[in-house]
Amino acid sequence: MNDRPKASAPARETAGSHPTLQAWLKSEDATVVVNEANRLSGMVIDELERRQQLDPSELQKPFTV
Amino acid sequence: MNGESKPRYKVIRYSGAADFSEVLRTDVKTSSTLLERESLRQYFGDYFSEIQLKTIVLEFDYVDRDYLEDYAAYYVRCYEHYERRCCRIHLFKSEFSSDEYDAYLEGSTGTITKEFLNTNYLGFLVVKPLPETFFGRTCITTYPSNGTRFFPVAQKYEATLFGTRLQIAQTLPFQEQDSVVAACATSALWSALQRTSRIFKHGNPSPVDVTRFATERVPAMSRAIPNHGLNPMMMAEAIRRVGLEPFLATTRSGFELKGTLYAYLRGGIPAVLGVDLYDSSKQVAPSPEKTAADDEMIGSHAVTVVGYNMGLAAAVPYGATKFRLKATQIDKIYVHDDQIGPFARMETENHEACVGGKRIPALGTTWKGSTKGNTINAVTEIVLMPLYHKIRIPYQVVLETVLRFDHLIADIKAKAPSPVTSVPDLIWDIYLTTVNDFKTALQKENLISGKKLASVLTSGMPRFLWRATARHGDQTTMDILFDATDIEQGGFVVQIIDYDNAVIPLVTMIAQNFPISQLHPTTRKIMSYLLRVSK
Repeated sequence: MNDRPKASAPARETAGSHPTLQAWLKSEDATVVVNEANRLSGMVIDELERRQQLDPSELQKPFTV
Repeated sequence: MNGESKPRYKVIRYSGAADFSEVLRTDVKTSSTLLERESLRQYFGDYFSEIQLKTIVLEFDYVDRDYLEDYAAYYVRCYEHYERRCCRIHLFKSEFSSDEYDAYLEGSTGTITKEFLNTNYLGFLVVKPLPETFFGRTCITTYPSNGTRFFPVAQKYEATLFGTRLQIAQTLPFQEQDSVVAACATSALWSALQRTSRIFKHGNPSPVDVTRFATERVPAMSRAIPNHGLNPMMMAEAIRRVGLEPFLATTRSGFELKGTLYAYLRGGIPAVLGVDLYDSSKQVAPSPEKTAADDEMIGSHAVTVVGYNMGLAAAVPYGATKFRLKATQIDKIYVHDDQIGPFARMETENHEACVGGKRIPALGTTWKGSTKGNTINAVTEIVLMPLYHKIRIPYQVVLETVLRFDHLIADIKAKAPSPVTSVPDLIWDIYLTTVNDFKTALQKENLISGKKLASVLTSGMPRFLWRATARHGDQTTMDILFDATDIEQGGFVVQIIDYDNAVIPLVTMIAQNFPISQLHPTTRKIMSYLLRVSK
């Protein structure tokens, strides 16, 4: 399909079936890592959303200068 | 000059800002001069020097549609007599004399040809016969390209001067508020709608139309015209009246502001930026509850964002996840600021304003403060985009999806057994595009070829897409295409294109071996897509 493969050797290794990694992904350790990733990125997104909340009074303020 | 008692045109050699001010006073006969307006005089002087202006052609007795609409709506009924014709000032980057131009108009073969005029054309300014604020529709070429400046909303614009069709390669119309039918918000919206009228095919409202649209259904406490400003609800209403949907974002920090502006500008959509202006050279008296004296507020102002400069060497990692977004390389945005001029610079780095006893991020402006220097900073209040109704998924949803996905890969890479550590760190480039623009870009980018390229080019896609491109170094590793016309609860991943096998094999392995029900719903959409195509 791709006429210009550019895979690096280690990455290509993961593309196949890497038994250690596959086993790890099915383990409790992976669940802990994924939960932690979800928690941290959720925290960043909550902070972004909190900063974007609009004060309703701003909608009434005219831009006049 | 041309056989008539009243001259129809005049050719003038340009030699500096003072010269331009004199031209306005003596030839165009404005009732005030630029000398009285320091910021504008200096701005035009600097800009004309940057675009290498050499010759001015004044076209007297010019009928400008936008001014004529404003004139019919207001000025014609004034007791004071106001003219209805304007003067249009054409700018050229080569020197030529009045005699040479006369000869051209008379059909003689000489230095000046149609090609010569077109090659050297820099644009025009319409000067309205009004006191004080007189710059009407102004279409001047953008700053020259330097590899980091981008004006994605600029477009080709044509003008005809005595039968000669002239083209400005890249511009977006600008005009200053007349403080009668238009305040700053009207002027900013007018410029934005000039762009969207072309890409989304809606009518092209004049300034007075914009003010009327804005105020018809959102009545103000006092009369709408003379207009002293529009609030965000009014601006949103004007956008609805031309058939588009307003999208409002509130953002102050660099990460959100740069990301939002870049994402929509790159998709060809200008933004109206509402800011509060503060003069850092003047402080109001500190109060007991404040730790520092506040900067004096000048007022609330609206501008149109038309471009950006990618001046920072590298993307700035954001927050606890260290997410790297290409848009954070922006160090300046370019705005049509009706108090400064077209394509005015606002700096995104190292500016703050003291408000409520706190120092908050601000944009540096070229406004003059009460002391020498540019001491006026702009604190962002709103970003308002006029969008086609089918652009439903906002940037923030795509950002959240990509940020979560990126952090999942980064965390697994950091904590899983080798060889995952070889998977590179990614920089994400997120922006709105159309199916046609994406496919055209893909053909130029030469990232894939053969059957894989043909497969992407011929696959069906929605009209509007969010494109999230991941890179490591100079290498593009993948594209995730999201359906911008979908609903937020929908799958909305249109396609994932792997360019170098550096990351996608790992992600596919995660999708195949980790229970995806435990992933965040947004990440699950990407994983579900990969599972589907890997079968």
